[in-house]
Amino acid sequence: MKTRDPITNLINALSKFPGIGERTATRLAFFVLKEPVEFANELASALIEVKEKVGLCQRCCNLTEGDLCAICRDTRRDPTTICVVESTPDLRAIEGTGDFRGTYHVLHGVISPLEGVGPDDLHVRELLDRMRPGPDQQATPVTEVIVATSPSVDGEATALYLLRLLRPLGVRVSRIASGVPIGGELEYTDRVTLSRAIAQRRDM
Amino acid sequence: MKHLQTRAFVLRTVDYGERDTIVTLLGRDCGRFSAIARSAKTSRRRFGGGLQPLRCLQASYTTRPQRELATLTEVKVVVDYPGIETDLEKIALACYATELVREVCREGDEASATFDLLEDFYGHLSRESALAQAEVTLRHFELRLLEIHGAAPSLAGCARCGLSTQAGDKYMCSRVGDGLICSGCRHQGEAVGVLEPNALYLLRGYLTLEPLAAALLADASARMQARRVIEASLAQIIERELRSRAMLTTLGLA
Ligand SMILES: [Zn+2]
Ligand SMILES: [Zn+2]
Repeated sequence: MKTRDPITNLINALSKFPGIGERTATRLAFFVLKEPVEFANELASALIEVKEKVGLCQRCCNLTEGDLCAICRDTRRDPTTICVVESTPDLRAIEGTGDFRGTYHVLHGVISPLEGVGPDDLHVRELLDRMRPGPDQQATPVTEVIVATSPSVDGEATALYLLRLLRPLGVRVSRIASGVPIGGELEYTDRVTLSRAIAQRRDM
Repeated sequence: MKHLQTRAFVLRTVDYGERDTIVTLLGRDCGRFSAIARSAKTSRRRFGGGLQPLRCLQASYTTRPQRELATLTEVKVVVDYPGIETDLEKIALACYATELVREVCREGDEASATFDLLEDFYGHLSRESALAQAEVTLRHFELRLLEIHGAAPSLAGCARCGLSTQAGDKYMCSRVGDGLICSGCRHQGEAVGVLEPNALYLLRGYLTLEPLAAALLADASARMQARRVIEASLAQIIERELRSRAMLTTLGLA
């Protein structure tokens, strides 16, 4: 709500940030007031710039300044393999390993039946479009989709839904493994994780 | 400060700040309650994969007088219903049942019967292989939930005068959710639904879980009528459209 008091307006706006309550918002607002005007100008223009310039990659829905993100533009990446992730931070985490040389697709959420989030609320259609050759799409067909949603009920629902859509198209669909964390102790691992680790064991 | 323990199901989780999660639970012994799980997002050690719906937990928590939120100290997964999580339809059905419970249970109300019903439902769903059986299980769940919360449709006789149904009667069903009504009790101009005998057999079968004939289960129009009767009753105790219905519709289950 907009009030006539500029300080209250700033506090209200700041408390919309995740993890920022009214008390922290008040502290931040008074910090802004104390700083020189250049600081406020810089902050305001950075906020506007990020909203104006950063959009979604036309192919993978990653955040980007141009039509295509740096990963989709990179010709050394393997376009036949797509790793599907929930969010850009998840993409960054996998990218941080340096092990994956394929491309990504960012859903910007997961299917959550209990919260009423369905496939139409995510960027699923854009993923399907990538399976069909078209004028805007890459020339090489996709052969494998790796579903890297988290191992939660919602993550599994999303993976199962994607499997249902993709399998008839003749694409190999795989799911990232879940199990005992490296360096973790079996004794302290919860039951669900342990039973999954056993079910998804591999030959040595 | 009191230290307590209960078996519980997660009804909802909401992120709270960068690290914590607020969890709404249905406890076997204490009914619906909310608790904060500190550092649930940053440290997996204490809660593991436990802070999720569709899992039966042993939850340890503390309460303080004059404070609404309990504090979760530990959860252990007692049953994880592996048959549900590998099947999209079952996830959608289980989420729908969970949301129904979330809607009808209020904090402070006794809820052990509802807890047992939900536990049975998850268990059946996890074990069943055929989806047709899942529909029967779901209708049973809905009718029992209505019974527990005092809103079951009358299936034995007229909801208003108690007159029992006879073979050959033309059954009518009230649109406001109280179940069967006789022609004498129908208000002037009141809109009613017609109920074929098969639909009534289905409804009674759903409730008692006595084995139903294959022909009955295959009668699509009777199934639809039975479903409408249940939905009219549910509408009496549920104030808003359920979110989980969207997924059921997407999958052709609603
Ligand atoms: Zn891209
Ligand atoms: Zn009557």
